[in-house]
Amino acid sequence: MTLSVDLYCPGRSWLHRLDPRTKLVMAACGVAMLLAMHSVALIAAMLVLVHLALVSARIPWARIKAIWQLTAPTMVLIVLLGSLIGPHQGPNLVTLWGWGVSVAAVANALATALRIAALALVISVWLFTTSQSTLVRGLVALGLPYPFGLALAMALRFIPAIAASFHTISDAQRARALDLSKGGPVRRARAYVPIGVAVIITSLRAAENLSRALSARAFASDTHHTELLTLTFGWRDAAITLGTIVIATAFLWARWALGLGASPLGL
Amino acid sequence: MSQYAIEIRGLSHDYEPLHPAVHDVTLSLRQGTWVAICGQNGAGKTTMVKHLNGLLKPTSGAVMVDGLDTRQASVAELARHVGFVFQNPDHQIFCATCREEISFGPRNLGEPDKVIHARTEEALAWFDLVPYAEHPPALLSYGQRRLVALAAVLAMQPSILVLDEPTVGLDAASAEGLLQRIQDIHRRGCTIVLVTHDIALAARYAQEMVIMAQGRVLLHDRTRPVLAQPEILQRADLEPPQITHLCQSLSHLGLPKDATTVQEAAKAILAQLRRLP
Repeated sequence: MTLSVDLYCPGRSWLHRLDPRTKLVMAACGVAMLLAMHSVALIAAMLVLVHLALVSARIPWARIKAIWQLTAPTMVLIVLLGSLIGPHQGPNLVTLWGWGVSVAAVANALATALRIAALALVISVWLFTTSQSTLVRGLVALGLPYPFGLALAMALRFIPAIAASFHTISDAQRARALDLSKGGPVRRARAYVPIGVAVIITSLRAAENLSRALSARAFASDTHHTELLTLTFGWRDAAITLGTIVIATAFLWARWALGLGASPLGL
Repeated sequence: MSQYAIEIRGLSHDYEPLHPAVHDVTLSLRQGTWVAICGQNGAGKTTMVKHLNGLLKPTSGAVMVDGLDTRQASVAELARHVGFVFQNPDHQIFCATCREEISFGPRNLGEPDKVIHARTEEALAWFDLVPYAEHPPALLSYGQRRLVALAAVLAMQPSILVLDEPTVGLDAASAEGLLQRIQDIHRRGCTIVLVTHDIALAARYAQEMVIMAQGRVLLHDRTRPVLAQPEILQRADLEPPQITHLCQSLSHLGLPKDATTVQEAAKAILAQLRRLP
């Protein structure tokens, strides 16, 4: 069984080579623009752009599909409920059992649903092309205190280990006749208590051993340390960061001053 | 009832397509035997024994345990027949006291309270854990946690006991103590399946050996004939025990190729010396 929560797809594309801070700025600007957008057409355009970026970074289609699969149930729910209980303005698209479903409500729900997928994909561009160590190093370079950065890096590193431990502990308890598939939801949830407790004990023991190992290797948060991974913010990063900030600022100005992308049906 | 506690026929298991961890294994293990499954890391030992209690289902082939087809039976049903002691006791321990920990398995089997109580107390006494009965098992020493894990499995009274690397991380005295207890359990008629890469340990206790490499069984025989075939052990990257190795190196002087203990080797050397003019 493969257990991994690392979204990083190794590669050497232009996106992979960018400084993690540049990609963070791109993701943050993308999120800000998407949150300000209500136009279905503009959000769809953003989706096309994000897909082009992912394809140019040679991200496997299976990974992109996985993001769509993850967001699809929420999107469907939003479109269905949003269409039914959305604003009753303008003409009706359809009338169901006497209940009018307006074009505005459908467009509004569609915009919200597409925005969720677009947000997930914009953040995925950052996570798919940035390794965990580079990501944390980037956050530290942006001012996150080093001990917090190290803690974050270790937490990310140990999530797969804890998941593997959960799997092994489930096997160990099932071998003692613990049936995880019998009964209703409450009984099933209770059956997971022995596994949860053992995972916590094992994790605490691992954390204690890890902290001792760190101390034994001279780790102290207040001492100066050198870095194995050095970040380079080159001219390409500077140009892309500046370009992204300019585009995002211009869009946000146009959004509030000119109403660009304010209506679900318009531009 | 079959004379075999475990019958494995053409077992293959793939974690990933086209990469079998166990490949076409056929094996029959008699009731009441102590069998050691030996091989290096990645040889497929643990994957194979995880089929015995249904934790893994065969990709192809079949495994019969006490006449039950593991493809049909649930892990909970098979737990009545097969006790599985995992390599790391911490993967098993979760209760507030040793007494609760040991009674967890019999409770899952739906045994009456009276039976649960009797089995728990017997297991506590058997493993000298009575003074720790009300202690949190997670706070005991590593060796004691191993005993709690073993006691917890034995309280379920399985007819087959599978032990995955039981002596890893134990000092010599603790390992010896643990194995002595397993030997006592074996004397009661329990079939023991010991998974280990320590062939010296297997040679001392097991009646039969299964040598595995790259997911396949290279050899299954009684312990002495297995040890007398160093070329097979070599194919599995295993070394015979040092005393066996010494006797094999001096076999041209009349020493046995399958000696497993120092006493046995000393006796053979003395016999040869007496023959000298």
